[in-house]
Amino acid sequence: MVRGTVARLLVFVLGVVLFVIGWWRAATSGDIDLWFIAWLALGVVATVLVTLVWIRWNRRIYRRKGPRRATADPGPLPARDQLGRPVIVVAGSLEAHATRLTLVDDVVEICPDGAQ
Amino acid sequence: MIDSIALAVQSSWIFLAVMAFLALYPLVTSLVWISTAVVFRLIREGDDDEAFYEVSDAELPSVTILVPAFNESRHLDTSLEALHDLDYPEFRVLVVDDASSDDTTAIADRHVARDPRFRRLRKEVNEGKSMAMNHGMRLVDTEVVVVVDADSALDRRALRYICAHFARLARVGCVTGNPRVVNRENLLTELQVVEFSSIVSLLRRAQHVWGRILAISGVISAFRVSALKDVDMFDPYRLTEDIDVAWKLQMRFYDVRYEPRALVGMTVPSTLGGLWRQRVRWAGGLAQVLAAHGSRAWRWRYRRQWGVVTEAALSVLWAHLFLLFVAFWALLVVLDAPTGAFPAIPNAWGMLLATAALLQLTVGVLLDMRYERRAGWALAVAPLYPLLYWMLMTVVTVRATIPALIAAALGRQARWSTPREA
Repeated sequence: MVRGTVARLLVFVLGVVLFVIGWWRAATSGDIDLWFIAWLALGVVATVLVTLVWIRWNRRIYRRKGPRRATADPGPLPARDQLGRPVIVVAGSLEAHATRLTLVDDVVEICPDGAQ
Repeated sequence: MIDSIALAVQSSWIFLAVMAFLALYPLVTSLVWISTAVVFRLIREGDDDEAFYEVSDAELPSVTILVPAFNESRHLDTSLEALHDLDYPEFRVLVVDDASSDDTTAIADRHVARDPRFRRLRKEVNEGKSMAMNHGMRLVDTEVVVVVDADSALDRRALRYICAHFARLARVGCVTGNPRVVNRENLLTELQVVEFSSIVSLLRRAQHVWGRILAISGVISAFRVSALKDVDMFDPYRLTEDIDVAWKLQMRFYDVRYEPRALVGMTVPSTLGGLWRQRVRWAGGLAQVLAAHGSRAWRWRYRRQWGVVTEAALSVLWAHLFLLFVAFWALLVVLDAPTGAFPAIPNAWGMLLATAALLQLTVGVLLDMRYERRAGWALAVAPLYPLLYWMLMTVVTVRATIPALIAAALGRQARWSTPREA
């Protein structure tokens, strides 16, 4: 516990030191001037504004369509599984507490434990 | 000769375009994610929004909790224990044991004997998580199925938060929850705490507002059974069946929603090898889904999908271009050729990216601290995230993409992957 806290603290301090050194070097290298800051601020504001407009557009699509009135009723599951094999669910499987699935001659069978 | 080629490449418009893309993409996406996630916080996570979850027991749909498991004897007991005391009126639990060779069946049977709501299906042949869930669905007769990993622990009220969406909105086909890391053992797991708050949760908040979600959490996802049947359930050929099913549902115009209140404790990889294998699978799965659905998603009728398609495709492109860029720079250094067009490190733009990354991590963790106060402690390791973790994930993406696309083209069936055990 104490070791973990100390390790976290060390990593945090190391990270902060690296971060400060990085910014200090960038600032003293002449990379940052008024134009850089102005373009950056403009870019940030434009990005956020475009995002908010897009969100509004998206939410309006949702509102216009309104809630789905009904869900599809695809009926019972197909007789074959996703690997194309026939599936047999033996009567009583749905109610049984313990069932097993066997694969014989590429036919999938689900039956209650103990059933033949 | 080499010098003139190096200079020609570095002064070409393609080089400049790539450099601009590498510099701008992370900053722009970070800003978009942060601003949209804050919108989600304002419209969906206020105290006033609690009324949305006040649904009477009679209105709540019946639920089957599906727990696919393969050799999960270490975690399954704890996971099932959490399910006995759920605050929900009508539910069943179905454990699908995918031919485990350990005590998984015996553990499931103990819970079946103890609680009449529990069921167990034992498969005699191991075929992977997707097929385990698909076969389990044959025994589901409820309106909603909630898939929970066998090494997770569902919060007591999670079902109520999730099922309010199904009860209130017929359009909802899937709701994914908020996974919280429980094994905070070392630096790697701490970095994943930060990641799950600031990348996974923050991104899902943002994508919920965009209208489409890129990926759901395999560890906790709930589906309207009719919707799941409508999209032919889980594809056994996908490395990440959860990403694939989310896309299939959304392209059939079902809503996929993120519910931050639906908490689930999960175990994350605590070794570099385990994390690497997990992320190679995730990145490969995303590449497969983009290849399978990406081109169709550009049709006008799927325009709400455009945000996530663009973001996902550009993130894969960014990873590849970034490593190419670094490799080209390294080659020039080795050849002692001029590297004048490459930025010095650290420069102002690099620090700006680091600052944006840290801001995103902080906002993500702050948003999630409402549900897990301890998440704040993980911010201590946040400075390492853009330095180490980000780079690791970039390499993972490049390593995974092409092999996954080849596997999908060859029709290889995906198998179980439990990297945390590795």
